[in-house]
Amino acid sequence: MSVRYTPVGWNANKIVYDALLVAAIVAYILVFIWAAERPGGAPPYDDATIRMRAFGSCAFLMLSVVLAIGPLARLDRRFLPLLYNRRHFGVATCVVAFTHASYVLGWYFAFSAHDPYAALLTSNTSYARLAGFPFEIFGLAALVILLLLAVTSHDFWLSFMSAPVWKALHMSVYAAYTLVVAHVAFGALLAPVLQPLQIVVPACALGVVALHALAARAEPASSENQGWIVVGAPDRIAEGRAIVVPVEGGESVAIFRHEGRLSAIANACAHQNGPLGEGRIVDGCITCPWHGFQYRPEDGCSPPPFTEKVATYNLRLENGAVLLDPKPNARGQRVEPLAVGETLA
Amino acid sequence: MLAGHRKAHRAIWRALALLIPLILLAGWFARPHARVDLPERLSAPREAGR
Repeated sequence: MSVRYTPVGWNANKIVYDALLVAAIVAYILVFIWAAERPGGAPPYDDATIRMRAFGSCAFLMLSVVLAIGPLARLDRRFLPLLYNRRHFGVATCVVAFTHASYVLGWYFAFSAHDPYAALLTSNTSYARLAGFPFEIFGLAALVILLLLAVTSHDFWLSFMSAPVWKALHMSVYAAYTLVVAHVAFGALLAPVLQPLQIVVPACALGVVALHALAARAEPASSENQGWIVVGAPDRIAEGRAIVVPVEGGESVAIFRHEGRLSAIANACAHQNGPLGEGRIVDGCITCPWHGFQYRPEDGCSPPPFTEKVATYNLRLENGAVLLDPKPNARGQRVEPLAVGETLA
Repeated sequence: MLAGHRKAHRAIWRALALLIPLILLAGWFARPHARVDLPERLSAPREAGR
């Protein structure tokens, strides 16, 4: 966490995640090439074109999955393991997209009279027409963004830039996705013969948009009582888990149950704003579902030797209902956990 | 900070919910006018270079 620097904090879960990811990419590329090269695989493209389409479509699907992981994890906890190593997924997407771009430059522009990069930008300048629009520019812009995000994905940059700046920068992945959709819509989808991509690409793009809309609608609502928010019966919270309560100003609070007592802390992890309320208690500490940062429920401090802190909140019990004071305490301020009786399974 | 991030996130996805279908529709309407398949279109500078 914060006391010593390691380039990548490898553990068994990350290794398995990355191994599965690489295996899935290799399998997709091989199956795509096999399906395109088999007799009757129409239209009959050359090998280089098939490979660039394999890598291009793989990159598009991977980027769609990267953007779908967040809302999926919010809608269903079973998707949380995918969130754990999402940054590696993003970097792998960039590598696959770069391979696609390398095939394009090497095949279509390597024999150009000009520099391949110059040829890429000048071979088609029909910006005024919809049909035949130079869609390459969209792909190039998306690739530049993906490269920037991949290069700055390490925790060093998060610490160097500060979380708000890093987050704002990495939200440009949405711009990259829009550019990729435009790149495909004005490129590969214009094929005169109907191909599976012409169904898969719109389905993925609209699916990602729909998932984000669904996740936004599923955010919990709360009712307030004389400044304190009525959370409801303590039984709503399972042992070792939390519920998330939105408070004024758009922030939210995670109320955890641990050994029959409730504690409330800010829902944003000090590391990367991860949703602490979607995590669970491991070894007595609230554990962020994104990267495993831990905090003690009673004071929001990471256990020694780590130094991260999040704000705590006050709770009280009234007429069998838990009430939450929406005003945060200082980060790391101890609050006596609220005893609510027997623990739930 | 989280609130600001969430608001920006929501605003971005509202915009994308409009923009992405529009882009796909524009691509779809451009499709009947693309008489030549993509590899052939892109091959033009390569062939010219030779």
